[in-house]
Amino acid sequence: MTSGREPLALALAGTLRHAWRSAGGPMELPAVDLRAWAERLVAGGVGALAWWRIRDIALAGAPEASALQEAFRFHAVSAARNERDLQHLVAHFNDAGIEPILFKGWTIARLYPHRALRPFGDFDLLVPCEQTERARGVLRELGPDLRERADVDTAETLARYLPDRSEAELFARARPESLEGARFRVLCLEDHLRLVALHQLHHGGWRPLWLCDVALLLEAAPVDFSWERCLEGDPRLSEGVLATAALAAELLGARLPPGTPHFVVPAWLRRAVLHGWIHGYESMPPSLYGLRALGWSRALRAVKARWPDPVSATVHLRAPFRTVPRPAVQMAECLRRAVDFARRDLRWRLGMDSELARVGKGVVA
Amino acid sequence: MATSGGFVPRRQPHGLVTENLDGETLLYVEASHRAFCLNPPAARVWEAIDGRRDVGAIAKHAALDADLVLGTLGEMGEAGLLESVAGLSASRVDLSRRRLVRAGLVAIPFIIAITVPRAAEAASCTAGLPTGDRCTPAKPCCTGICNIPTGTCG
Repeated sequence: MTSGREPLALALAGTLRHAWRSAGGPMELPAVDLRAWAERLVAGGVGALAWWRIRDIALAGAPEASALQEAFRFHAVSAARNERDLQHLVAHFNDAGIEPILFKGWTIARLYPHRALRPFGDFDLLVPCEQTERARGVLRELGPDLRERADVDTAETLARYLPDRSEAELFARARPESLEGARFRVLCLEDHLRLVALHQLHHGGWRPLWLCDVALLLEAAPVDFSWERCLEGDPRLSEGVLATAALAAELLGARLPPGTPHFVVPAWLRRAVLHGWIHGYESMPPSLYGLRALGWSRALRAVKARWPDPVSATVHLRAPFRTVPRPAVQMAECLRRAVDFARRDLRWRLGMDSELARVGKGVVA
Repeated sequence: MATSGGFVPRRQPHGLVTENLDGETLLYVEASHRAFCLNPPAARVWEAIDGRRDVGAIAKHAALDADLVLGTLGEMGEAGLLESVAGLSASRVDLSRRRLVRAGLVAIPFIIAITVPRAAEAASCTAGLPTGDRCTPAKPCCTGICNIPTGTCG
């Protein structure tokens, strides 16, 4: 991150410090462009949370803060809608003999002091592999609105974040709960924290809301919280979980549960996450399919735009967080993606993937 | 006095979500995916709409001038909160709005359209396969790389 943008990123962190608590404590006025400050907070999904933090201080009266209040209002009414629909959704799953695990989204939102503070756009449901088709059938019956807002995962699809947790482990550890009679399960906190931490690393940590979630879960840890259980599995991914927890403590002031292993946040990780908070989700240029039609200069620009961020590169490659220079990791990730692309491109050219061919031809045209 | 005083407004029977927040009433219209905020006087009007009260009775219940109530009902109709506003005269609504501006210190009902926060909802990622969900800025790729035009992940 260029040094000119760092004060803004740190102002965001200062605003979000302890924001998930009922009372966030005193806060200094951010000495940055308030319009950019509010814009980045809203884009990062933490507009409502920031409003909660500043609602009782003079800053709430600033014209720029109105966008935060708008976010708070919108998420309050969206949350009411989501909660109504969630009960309906889970009840239909129950009728079909399915008791799903709920994760992320609503299960985290309800831990915040107000349900408007944590926006979520969809319902994440985990079902046993053999119930997948039945679960999709339930969603089809419920109509397009709910179908588009519900994601059905299995342990197999969730393996992109939790490759070292089996379906049996996740379900055995999950806690049974109910919502107005609708039965579901919630991941145990150890698995949930691991999932939430690795999820944000996979996405480069660009959304400050995700780090707030980690901070909230760390402070919600019960007395019997087991780091051993949370960190079991791939040691490189566990290193990522610890790094995220340490970052939440450093940037947001999260209180770590007793017995948290000591971990010093690497400077590159802190820098990359703050960079993501300022620059947000960076969309990509047109598809690489049909490279020859695009020409070399555009192709080079496309490759440059695809240069991986250090956070997702590290976790995708399961590279160490501290010992290897990040440019090397990013280069390796770029090569991995290039090989993957070449493999798929070959399949396209050989006509082995008709759907991909259809999409690719559309781009070239 | 309002000429549409006998009009009996009815709330939209379906697709409305209501939330009360710090004295304000928030409404989400599912058909249009738009949200509105009613300030306390407008919330009083909303609360008084029960499908039986006419404009005069609503004004009395909400302790507001009948013309202000008419103006508010017109705005509620435009926002899609009411079943029908066919019984309200457009000219009367316009007159109410002028009076509303002149009203000065009167507690004026406001209906504010809430701006949807840009990309604020944290959706899950997608694999972005040609046969599955498309990736978008709001629904990023699990790989972190979304080819926006095709909706596929790279």
